[in-house]
Amino acid sequence: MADSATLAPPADRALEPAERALPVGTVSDVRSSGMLGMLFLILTEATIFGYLIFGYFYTAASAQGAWPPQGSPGLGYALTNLVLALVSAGAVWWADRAIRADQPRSAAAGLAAALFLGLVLLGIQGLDWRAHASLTAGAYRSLYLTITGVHVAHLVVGLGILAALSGWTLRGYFGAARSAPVRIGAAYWYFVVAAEVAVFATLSLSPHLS
Amino acid sequence: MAHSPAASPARIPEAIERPGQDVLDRLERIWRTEPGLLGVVGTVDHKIIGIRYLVTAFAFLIAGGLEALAIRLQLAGPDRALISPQAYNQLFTMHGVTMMFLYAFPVLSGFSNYLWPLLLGSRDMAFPRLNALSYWIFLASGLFLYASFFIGQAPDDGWFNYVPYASKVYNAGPNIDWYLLGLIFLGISTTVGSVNFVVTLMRTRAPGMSINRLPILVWGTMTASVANLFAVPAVSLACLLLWLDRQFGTTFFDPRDGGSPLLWQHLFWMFGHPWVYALVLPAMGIVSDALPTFCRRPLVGYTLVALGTVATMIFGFGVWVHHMFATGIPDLALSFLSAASIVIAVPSAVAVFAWIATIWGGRPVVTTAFLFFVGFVLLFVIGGVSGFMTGSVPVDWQLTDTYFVVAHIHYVLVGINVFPVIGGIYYWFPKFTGRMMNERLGRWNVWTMFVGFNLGFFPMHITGLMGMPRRIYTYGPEMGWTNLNLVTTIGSFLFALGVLLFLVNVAISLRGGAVAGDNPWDAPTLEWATPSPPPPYNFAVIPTVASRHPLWEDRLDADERTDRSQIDRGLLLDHGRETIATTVLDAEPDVILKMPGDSQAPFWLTVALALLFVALLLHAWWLAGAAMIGTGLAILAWLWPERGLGQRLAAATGAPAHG
Amino acid sequence: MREDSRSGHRDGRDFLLAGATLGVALLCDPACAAAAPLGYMTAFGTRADGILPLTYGTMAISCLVSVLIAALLAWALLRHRGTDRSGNPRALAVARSGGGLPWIYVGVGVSTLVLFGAAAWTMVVLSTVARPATKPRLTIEITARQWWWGVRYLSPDHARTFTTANEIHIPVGEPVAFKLASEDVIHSFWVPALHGKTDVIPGQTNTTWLQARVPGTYRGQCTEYCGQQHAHMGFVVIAQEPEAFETWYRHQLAPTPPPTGDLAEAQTTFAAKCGLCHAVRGTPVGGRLGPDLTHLKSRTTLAAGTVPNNPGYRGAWIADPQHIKPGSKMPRLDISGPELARVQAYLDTLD
Repeated sequence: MADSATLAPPADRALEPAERALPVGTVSDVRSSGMLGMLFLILTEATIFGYLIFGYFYTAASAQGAWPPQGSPGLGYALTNLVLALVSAGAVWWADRAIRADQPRSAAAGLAAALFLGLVLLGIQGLDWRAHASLTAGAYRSLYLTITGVHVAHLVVGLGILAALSGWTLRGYFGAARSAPVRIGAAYWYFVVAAEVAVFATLSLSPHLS
Repeated sequence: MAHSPAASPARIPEAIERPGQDVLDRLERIWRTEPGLLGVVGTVDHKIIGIRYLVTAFAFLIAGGLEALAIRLQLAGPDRALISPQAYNQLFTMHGVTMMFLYAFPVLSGFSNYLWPLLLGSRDMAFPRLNALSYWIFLASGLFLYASFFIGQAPDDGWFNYVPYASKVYNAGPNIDWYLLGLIFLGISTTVGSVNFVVTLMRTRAPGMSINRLPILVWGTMTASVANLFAVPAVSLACLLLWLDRQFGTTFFDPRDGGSPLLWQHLFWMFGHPWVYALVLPAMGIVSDALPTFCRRPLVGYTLVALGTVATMIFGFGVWVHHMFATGIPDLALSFLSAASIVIAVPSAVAVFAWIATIWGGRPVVTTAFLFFVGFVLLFVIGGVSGFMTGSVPVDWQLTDTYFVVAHIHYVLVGINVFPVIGGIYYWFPKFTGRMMNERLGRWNVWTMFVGFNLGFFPMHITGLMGMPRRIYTYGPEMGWTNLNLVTTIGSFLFALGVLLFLVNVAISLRGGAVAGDNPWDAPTLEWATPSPPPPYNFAVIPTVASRHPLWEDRLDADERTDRSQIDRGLLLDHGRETIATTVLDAEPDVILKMPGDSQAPFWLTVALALLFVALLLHAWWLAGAAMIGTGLAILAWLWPERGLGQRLAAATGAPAHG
Repeated sequence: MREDSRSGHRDGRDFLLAGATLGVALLCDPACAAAAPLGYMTAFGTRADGILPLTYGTMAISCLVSVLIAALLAWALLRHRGTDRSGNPRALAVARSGGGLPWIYVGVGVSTLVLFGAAAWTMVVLSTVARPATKPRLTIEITARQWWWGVRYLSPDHARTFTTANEIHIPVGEPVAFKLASEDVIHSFWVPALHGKTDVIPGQTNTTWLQARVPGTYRGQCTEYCGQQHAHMGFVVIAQEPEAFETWYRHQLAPTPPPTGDLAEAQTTFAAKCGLCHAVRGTPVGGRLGPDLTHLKSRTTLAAGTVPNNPGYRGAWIADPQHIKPGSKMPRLDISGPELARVQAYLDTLD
């Protein structure tokens, strides 16, 4: 330490380094690196859905004959899942609020609730697939199964995130002073829910609109 | 067990001036890579990762180049039987795949990975482990793709892999699956790399490095990275859909069952056109930053060039259909797209005139690097005007799918990517290695490459105008293409000799090049303020930046300047691996970031992913499932909150611990 | 060293100029058109006529721009040679950043004008060549397959429809409509002397039209990579004066006379060896997998423009098609010498 001088006011006017305390290692808002990384990840994954939906409408436009070929898919399961998804978004929002208010147990409860709802969603999607197993092979069936399938894949990753976050929260890793991971996981879950809305609008709503 | 709300930890960062040797030693201990195999596998040093990217990309350049030379030998004369049609089709496909995916973008990632933190005045990228991951996946996906070649099952439908020829009916072997899975795998590397660049730009710049002071290389890479986030999903999705068609009988692209072959083309080119700009904009940035050094003056029109970079990329998203002019697109769309494709040249013209103006208004010091950059400008323009010709629909109806397009793509790719890359190596080799490259050999290098390239590829414009189609393994003597093809072959070999001279120069300079010193070119940007090669921690203290040309401030606008960049004084940040995060627009100090050290997670995650893709290729579904679980576990281990990084609260106090 | 770089750079530029000039000169020579059967720098049809000036125009602009930039670069480089730089090696060329912007304003301004002009000209040409002056009286249906072209002449009079392969005749001076379909992968239909290419995509029928201005034989080629023998998927378009065209048309419609004597046996061998894939109108041989062979001898080429149509090549092709076109869908048959002779004798009657 001997040779270095602590900073004295410089002779010529120079830019001053920070003179106030800076947070170390973590911030809890959108400035955090982790949150920014997640936002861009969401952007690129959302773009996949964008291209999938483009593929759906492109194929619909070039289709000869009725589209969907066997009429609109039923609304039942899709609507149920939409509602479940929105409720789970609420649970995650609850968890986000709780962790920032330094209530980790409450937050863990919210995350676990969302996880549970997500599992139910998964089950219902399975029922939906079974109901649509009778779709004749062809472009529509391919699109239906793949669009819902890609969503399920993102959902499963989201379930993994919720499970990990619930566990870590219960172990006391997070609180008001370290809330970023829960907020980052929440952002991902909101994306999964938003994608659910988009998929619903495309597969279930759009046939009724044209 | 209620926690009392604790404040996030915070401290006033210590600032010092003229750090002594003990400070440097301590920083070295904190930042250096572990020795031995653990360090090789686990390093997160962006400089090591950058060099790995460069070396690996060059290895693929050589592979792709050898494939091209084989092609040229086959086409040197009419009706040659050197290579069978099956082998030829694999060769031209792998040549394209290698150059477009395994060389051209990774080599630029290599430069950016090495240079960004140095240019930005930072100690590392925002996500060091993600950086390591993007390299390992690049290597793994490249090896994955080449495995196909080594067993004679390389993809054979060209680098853009049109359906229906790529479908199971017409191409039953695993070769196309290799292509599809390989591209999806590589896409993960590109995506995480892009996220890393964008967040690094937003977070870890030195204080004072506002966005109007960023080097153009940073603008170029940033633009390409943001674009990739939107473009890569299109090709990844297209590959997934075709893979499903081939394995499970879905019919996204099968016209016999409601699918559309053109959907593949749309999805592919929605990726492909922005991608070609991603391949050149960072390289143009290399020239925009290095050329002014040799012109002894700043770049003319910095703001216009930066904006032109972004504008080119934005417009680049709108013109993908110009690859499909002959597919039966309606007239109105044709008109619009043709106009857009022609007008997109305007932002490029900004850059060309900026470079010429910089040379004009400067006092050129002619070095090998400088000659590469001058050659680049000319090749850029020739490639640009042949692109302009193909942008006009009626003309394109004659030109498309002939060697005219082959000439165009090589002028733009070799001219706007390879020449700046080689010039960039001559420029930054002293910084990377501490030694200068040999100037005499360098002159032979640049002239051999320049003459060889033009001799090889200029005649392709003519063979194209004489109707020679792309992707033909042979041609008849009555076509009139014989002599020009021979000239092209000779030129290609001369060009390859030039590349060989470059590699020789690198090899001999590594051993015996003249010692470089910190700033052998007297260049203006921050990386030249560090030793050559830089220590693992880059900067002993975080610099503060007051202009675009910190090292020229004593000579440029010297009397007007009220602020000066500070290299020798600044924040020390030595409580472990730390760097400063600054605000997005004005780069004011914001957060002290704790950076991770060496980690095995990226490597093992790559192994798990590689296993997954191999399993999918082989239809070994149980193995694929196991690999997916392995992937999940690796990610979990990676993200497990670490106390030392401030990622979780300390047990009792409720305050995040930090090392 | 300064001398080296200056002369070296000039060498590079001069070489380029010389090459460009030679290239352009070569291309514009009509005699070269004959030397380049797939070239399109000379036009023989209406649509190609419309496109050609735009091709030359954009090419001229391109050459001019390239030469101009090369000249500007050379000038920018050379203007400082001989300047005294023996002073401070750390000296910069300027004391102030900024400046030099007029280069960009003027350069981009001029470029923009040229680019917009070219775009406008493109719109004009597009609309000019879009539709024929008169409605086409003749429609030809092209079916592309790996690696040959099925050709079917359509007509409202059923007696005037017929199928052939790989060789298309059209009357000079009137537009002919083409409907393009593919049985398998994407191909592209291109007759450079007459017009640009149109892709042939399975699942949709693209249409185009051609109008020849000058009688002659024009080479066509598939120009979308379609597999192993993409290189050998050519075809021939022969434009004839209307009377000659009608004569040809009637000849194609004429039935094949039944063979007599030895030739009856030859036909049997032909039917046995070739009938699975090929057809000859007016005979029991009706395979649809390969090209229609009616009036085979009247065609100029074989195997989709790959080899000339003469007895030598016919024999070689039948004996071993995989040698001429490896990967072709025509298998190497187990055919003996005498059988081959009989088949050839039969084909020799298909005038």
